[in-house]
Amino acid sequence: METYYKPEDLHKFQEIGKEAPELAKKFFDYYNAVFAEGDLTGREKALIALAVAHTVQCPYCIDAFTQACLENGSTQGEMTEAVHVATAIRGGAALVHGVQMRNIAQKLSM
Amino acid sequence: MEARPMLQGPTRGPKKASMATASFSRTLSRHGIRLERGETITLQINVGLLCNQVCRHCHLDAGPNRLELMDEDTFNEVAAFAQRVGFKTIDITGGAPELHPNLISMIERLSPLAKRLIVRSNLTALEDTHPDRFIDVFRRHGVVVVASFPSLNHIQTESQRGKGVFKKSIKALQRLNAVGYGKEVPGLELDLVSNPTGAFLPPSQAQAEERFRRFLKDKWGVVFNHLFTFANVPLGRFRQWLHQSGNLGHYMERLISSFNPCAVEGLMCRTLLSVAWDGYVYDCDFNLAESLPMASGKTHISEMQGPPKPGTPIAVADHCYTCTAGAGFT
Repeated sequence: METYYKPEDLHKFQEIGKEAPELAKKFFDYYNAVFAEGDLTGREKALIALAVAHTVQCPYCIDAFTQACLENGSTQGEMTEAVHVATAIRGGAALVHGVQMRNIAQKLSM
Repeated sequence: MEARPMLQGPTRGPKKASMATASFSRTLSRHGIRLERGETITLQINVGLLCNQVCRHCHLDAGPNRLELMDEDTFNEVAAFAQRVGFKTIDITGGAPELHPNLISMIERLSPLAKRLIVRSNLTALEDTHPDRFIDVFRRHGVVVVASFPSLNHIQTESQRGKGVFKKSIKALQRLNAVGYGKEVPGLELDLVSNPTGAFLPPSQAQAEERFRRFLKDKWGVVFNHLFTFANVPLGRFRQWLHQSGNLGHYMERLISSFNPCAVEGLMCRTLLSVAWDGYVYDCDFNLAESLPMASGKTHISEMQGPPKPGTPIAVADHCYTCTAGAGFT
């Protein structure tokens, strides 16, 4: 079956550096620095990344950060709550724009 | 020591050549490392493969249908060896040691022979047999109890260890706490061991310990001394599960890519001697599971005057990648 997304392609991420290697290096250095332990732990960052991955719906990120969350000791309950955080923000963002709708509707309406 | 090729598929059945692209022994050579023994200070005694649980991560395939138990003659040889050598630590494991009919007499015989006597427990075997009697014996002999507790999530715990295990485990821990285990005074040591509930590596031990400590205390009033996080070894029932779930290749890649040369120095096989229920000795419990004898060949405890000398090569195979992944397995 043909598919755009193949799990094994995640391992090829570094190959993006074959063209524009300097830009790739800057990106991956930044990326690794972002996920290093800081004021937030690696575990907290992985949960945030998991939630964001669902928001942007990146299957590569969902794969990578599901594994990262498990290896950072997060339970599936915690990971599910993180997905709900993504859902609440994504859904909430749609809903709060309803204020725009209401403003415009009220301007146009008698 | 030449590495054995990694087994493909279930361990019982035809053995095929490994698909692992870098054998463990070659990886050691590439890093200029020779895996050799230091001073052997721990004797680990596997008293049998009988267990009341059928855990999916078990490297030994232990379970209720495994009838291999250490007999009295073999135990006498083991105890005599322990007396000759004078180990710092003796570590009783299984299967479920509580299911061995002679566990109490074994503890009474071994306790004076080492500064530290460990009994490993899956907690449900303790809870389902004679918990108060065993705990009293543990307490009187200052036994260090090392108990399995894979996850703070009951669904994940039970996916690994079976239905009802989580609740029974908490009850058993509360019983141990009630007589003083896990508390600073009277100094009875209770440690927990957490294995991942799937085909992934364990989290940082320090962070996991902090979370477990807070959660167990707040929710159930349970206290303990230390938490150890161990990766699952791709042998036995765990290997079967990896194969059936399509995770074997990915998990092996994960272990191989996580090889940490700095972990080699602290490997338990450097200071531990493992003796099986039938009296044959191995460099570790995982080599025991794989029936991989020591470098000097298949040896019975009755043939040994003392432990292997420092500098003796250690038998390795590709499952050894587990103990050298990340922070290692000590």
